[in-house]
Amino acid sequence: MSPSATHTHDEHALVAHHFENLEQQRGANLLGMWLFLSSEVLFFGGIFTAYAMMRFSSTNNGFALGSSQLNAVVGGINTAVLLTSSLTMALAVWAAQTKHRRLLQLFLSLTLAFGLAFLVFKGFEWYHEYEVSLVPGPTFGSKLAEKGDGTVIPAETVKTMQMFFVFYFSITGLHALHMVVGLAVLAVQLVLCLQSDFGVRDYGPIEVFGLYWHFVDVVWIYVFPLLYLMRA
Amino acid sequence: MAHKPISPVTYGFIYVLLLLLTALTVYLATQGHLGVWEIPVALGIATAKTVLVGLYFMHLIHSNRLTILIVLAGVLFLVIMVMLTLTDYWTRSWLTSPQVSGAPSITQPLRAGHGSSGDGRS
Repeated sequence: MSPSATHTHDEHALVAHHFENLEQQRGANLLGMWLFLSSEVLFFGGIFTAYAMMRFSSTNNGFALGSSQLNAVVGGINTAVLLTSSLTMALAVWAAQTKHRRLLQLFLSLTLAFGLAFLVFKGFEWYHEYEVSLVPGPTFGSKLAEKGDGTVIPAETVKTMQMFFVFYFSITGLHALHMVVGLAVLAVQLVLCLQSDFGVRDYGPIEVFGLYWHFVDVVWIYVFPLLYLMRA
Repeated sequence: MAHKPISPVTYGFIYVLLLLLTALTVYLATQGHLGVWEIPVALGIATAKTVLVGLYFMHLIHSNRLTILIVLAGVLFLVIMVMLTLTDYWTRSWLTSPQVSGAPSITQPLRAGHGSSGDGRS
């Protein structure tokens, strides 16, 4: 089939020369993102495996005690904020597919706002943990005794709690890094949507970015129970 | 995507389900006393949420087989990594056979000088 038979006039400017048509180009871009996300599964999987291994092979309850220091309700609210940003992202893709330019701008802005809100919440949480000496280091746990019931935590258990918090800061830090990268790409796409008909003339780039954003959400869906909810 | 876009109503319904599952998992972890079931239940709920996000938000429900293959390959290799690592750590203490004299113990690192010492004079 000759290119002129498969391209409409509009499509021609959007399709790179090595693709037959827009449909094929979108499919290839999506597949590329899925391949990247598949490798990201193993990137986060590595640190989750290390976490599970240390937790199973530890002989005291330091991991559960470390988990109890985190506020599950605050973590749950932050999970809801991130899920909301995933919803608005899905709606942004829908708006791009159905060529609603104003709605696309609105939903991308909301996604950006909820993503930023998540990072701000996370920042406050980290600051709180810094204040109560839960950052691994020489003063780690120096304020644990103030928490009340007078029970003394054995030194070995405090060491395991430090290990838990090493994982906590590594995992949430890597996740936050992915959020920052996502927010940067999102900001660029939003500016392009505000300035031009980017997104409505071809929803491909919005859909591909949406996959990344939902993936970062999925990572948090596992981070949340692994760090906040395993207290027994 | 050759399919009709998923409607905003469907997205809203999935979103409400995701929020309910989040509330449920927080409730079970803080108020419920599940004992040994705590970890499997929390991970089960997380997996249910992941499936919802994947199928609807990430459009896997309308994706072609090649995409599904790539997703399953990622999951398969994750399962291999986790399962093989954990079976190792889980079963190490089962080895109660007597040590062969002179063989290094599996629970202790090799002594210095036993392996490569690296002074280059051998």
